[in-house]
Amino acid sequence: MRVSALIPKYPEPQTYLGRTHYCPGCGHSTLHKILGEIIDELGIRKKVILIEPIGCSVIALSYLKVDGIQGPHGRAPAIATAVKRLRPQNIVITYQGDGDLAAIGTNEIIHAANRGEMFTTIFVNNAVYGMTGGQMAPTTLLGQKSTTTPGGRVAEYCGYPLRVCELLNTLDAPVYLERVSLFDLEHISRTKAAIRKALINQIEKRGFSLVEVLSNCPTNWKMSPKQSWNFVKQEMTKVFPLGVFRDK
Amino acid sequence: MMLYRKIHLVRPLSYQVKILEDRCKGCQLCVNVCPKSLLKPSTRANQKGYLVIEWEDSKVGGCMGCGACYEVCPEQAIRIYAEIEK
Amino acid sequence: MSKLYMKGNEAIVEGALKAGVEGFLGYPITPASEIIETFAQRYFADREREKRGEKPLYPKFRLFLQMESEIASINAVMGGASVGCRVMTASSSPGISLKQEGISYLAACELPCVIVNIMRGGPGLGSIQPEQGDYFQAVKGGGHGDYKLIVLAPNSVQEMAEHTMLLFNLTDKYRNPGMILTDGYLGQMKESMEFPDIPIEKYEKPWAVTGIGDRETQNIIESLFLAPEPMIEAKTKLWQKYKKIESNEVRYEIYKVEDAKILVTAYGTPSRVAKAAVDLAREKGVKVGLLRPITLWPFPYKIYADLTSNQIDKVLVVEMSFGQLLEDVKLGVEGRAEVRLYAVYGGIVPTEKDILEKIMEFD
Repeated sequence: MRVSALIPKYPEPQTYLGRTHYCPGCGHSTLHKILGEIIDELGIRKKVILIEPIGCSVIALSYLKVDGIQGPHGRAPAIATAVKRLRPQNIVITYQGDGDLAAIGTNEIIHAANRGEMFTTIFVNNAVYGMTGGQMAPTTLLGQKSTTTPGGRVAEYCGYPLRVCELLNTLDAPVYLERVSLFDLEHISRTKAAIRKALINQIEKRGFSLVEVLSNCPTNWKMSPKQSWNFVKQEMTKVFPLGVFRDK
Repeated sequence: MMLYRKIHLVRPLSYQVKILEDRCKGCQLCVNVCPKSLLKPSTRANQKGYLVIEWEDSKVGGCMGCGACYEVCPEQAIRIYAEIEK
Repeated sequence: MSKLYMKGNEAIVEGALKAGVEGFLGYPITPASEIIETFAQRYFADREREKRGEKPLYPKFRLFLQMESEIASINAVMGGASVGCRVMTASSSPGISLKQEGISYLAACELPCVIVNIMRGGPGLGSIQPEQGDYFQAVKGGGHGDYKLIVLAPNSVQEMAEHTMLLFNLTDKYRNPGMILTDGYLGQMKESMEFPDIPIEKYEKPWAVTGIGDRETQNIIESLFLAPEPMIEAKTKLWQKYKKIESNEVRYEIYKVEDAKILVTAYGTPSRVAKAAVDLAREKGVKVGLLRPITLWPFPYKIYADLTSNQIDKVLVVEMSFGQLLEDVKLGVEGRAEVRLYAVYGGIVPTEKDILEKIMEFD
C-alpha cells in the first residue's frame, strides 16, 4: 500500500483575501490577486500603503490586507506624493480606474509623474465607468455604446479615447511605463512581471512607474466573462497597443 | 517553501484540484483555460447563488497540475495539490 | 523671549515651524503667497546646511512642495495627515473654495491638519483686498456633509503665530482639521511680536497609516459607509467629539464689558479698530464694551447670552462682510438685545471714527 501526502502546489495567499464583491470574471479580482501574489513574493506586505480609488475598487482594502487610504476621486497621486515623501520607507501604491486617473485625476497623475514621485501606479483601464453603471470613460472606444453614448461614442461630440501611457511617455521623469492585459495566461504572466518590475523600481528607488492594465467589465459591456476578454483582446488592443513604452 | 520544492524533485502520483465553493462565482474562465477540459459548471449553487464549477480528473490524460486554472481564477478559489509518495 | 518684527504671513510660518510642522503643501495665491515663499526659503536653506554638513534648523520640517493646484495641496495634506505627520496648507478665499471637497474628507476621516485662509474680496475672483466673506464657509461648513472645523481668528501678528501653534495642538488632540481664518490686512501687516511658550503637545496616533507591520488589523483611512448602521455610529462619534470641543475650547476676549450698555463685537482686523473706537466712545461718556470671539467655531454663544442678560441691551456687529458674523451673534443674543450690523466691504477696513460714529448713532 502506498503512503502518500497531498502537498499544495502554491502557497496560501497572505495579502489577497478574496471573497470579493466584484462581478464574476472581473479583471479587478484577477488584478488584486496578482498584486497580492507579487506583494507576498517580494515580502513587502508589512510596508505597503495602498491608496484606493473611487470606483468599483473603492473597497480594495477589504480584499488586500495592507494599510491604506481612501481619497477623493482622482486625487490619489497627490495623496501618494505626501505619503511617500514623508514615509519613504513604505511602499506606496496607487490603484486607479479610468475615471479616477484619466478624467478627474489627469492633473494629479501628470504632475506626480512629472515630478518623478517614487510611488507605483496601477491603472485599470476598462473603457467604461463601472461603479456608476456604465457611462462613457475617457478611454471608451469610438463606436462603443455606453449609457451616456447610447449610439456609440462619436468623436465630434466626445473626443477620442485617451492613451495614458503615450501621454506620460512625453514626460522626462517616469522610469517605467507599460501597458498589459489579463485576457489569457500569457498576458496574466506578463502583467505579473510588469507589476513585479514596477514595485522593484520603487524598492530600488529608481523612480515613478505606471502599469496600465486593459481590463474588462462584463456587466456593463453586457457580455460574459469569456466574451469580455475577447473584446479586450481583439478590440481594445487595437486602440491601446500593449507593450513597454519606457523602461529606464 | 520546502514543501513546494519537493513537488519538482519528485514526480507526483497525481494531482488534485479543489474548488473552494464559497468563493467561486461561476465565471467559467477556468473551464475555458483547462487544456484537459477537466472543469465544468455544476448544477449546485453556493450561498451567494453562483453556480459553482466542479473538477473531475480523468483516468487517461488527466490533470498535469499545470496551474492554468489557478492562475486565471480571479477569486483564488482553486487549490492544487500534488499527491507525492512518502 | 526676545521681541521680533515681522509680517503676519511670516508669523504663521514661524509659529508653524516652532510647533514642529513636518510638511507644507501649497499653491501661490495673493495675499497668501508669502507663506509658501517663506516656507520655501526655510526648507531650502536647511537643505543647503545639510549639504555643507551642518545640522538643519528645522529637522522636523522635511516636506515642502509647491503642488500643481489647490486641490492637489489639500489632498497631499490628507496624505500627510494620514501617516500621522503635522502638515499644513495655506491659501486665500478662491483657493479655499477649491479645497472644500478635501476638507470634507479630512473632517470625515478625522485627520488633524492646519489650513490657513488669508481672506480676500469675494465672491468670485473678487479682489486682493481684505474682506471677511468666508465666515460661513469656514464655520458653517463649505464642504458637503455634517462636519465642523476648529476655526481660530487672530487679530495681531502675535496671534497669527500663537494661534498656529495652538491649532496644531488642538487638531492633534481632537483629530479634526482646523482653520486659521484671517485676512489680507493682517497677512501683510508688519508688527512686533514675541513667541509664547506653547509646548508641542504629543498625542499618540495608533490610527496612522504606517504599513501594517505586525498589526493584526489594517489601518485604513476611509469615509465610506455603505450601510446605515456603521454610518450612524461614525457620525454619532463625530458629533460627540464636536460637543466635547464645544464644552472645552471656546475662547474669546472681553474688554470693558462690566458696566457696558452697548456691546461692540468683531473678530480679526475690525476688532483692533473696534477696541480703539470703544476707548474713544468711553472718553465721550458712552458705556460701551468689546467682545471679540477668538474661536469662531466653537462659537462663544454663552458669553453673548450672559452679557445680554444683564445691562447690555444693544449689540453692534462690525464685520468686513455682509451679515455673516451677525447671524451667530443673533443666535447667541437670542432676542435679549437689539443687534445692529455695521458691514464694511469691498476691501476697506473701518476706521475708529467710522465705528465711533455707529456707536454714537446706536446710543
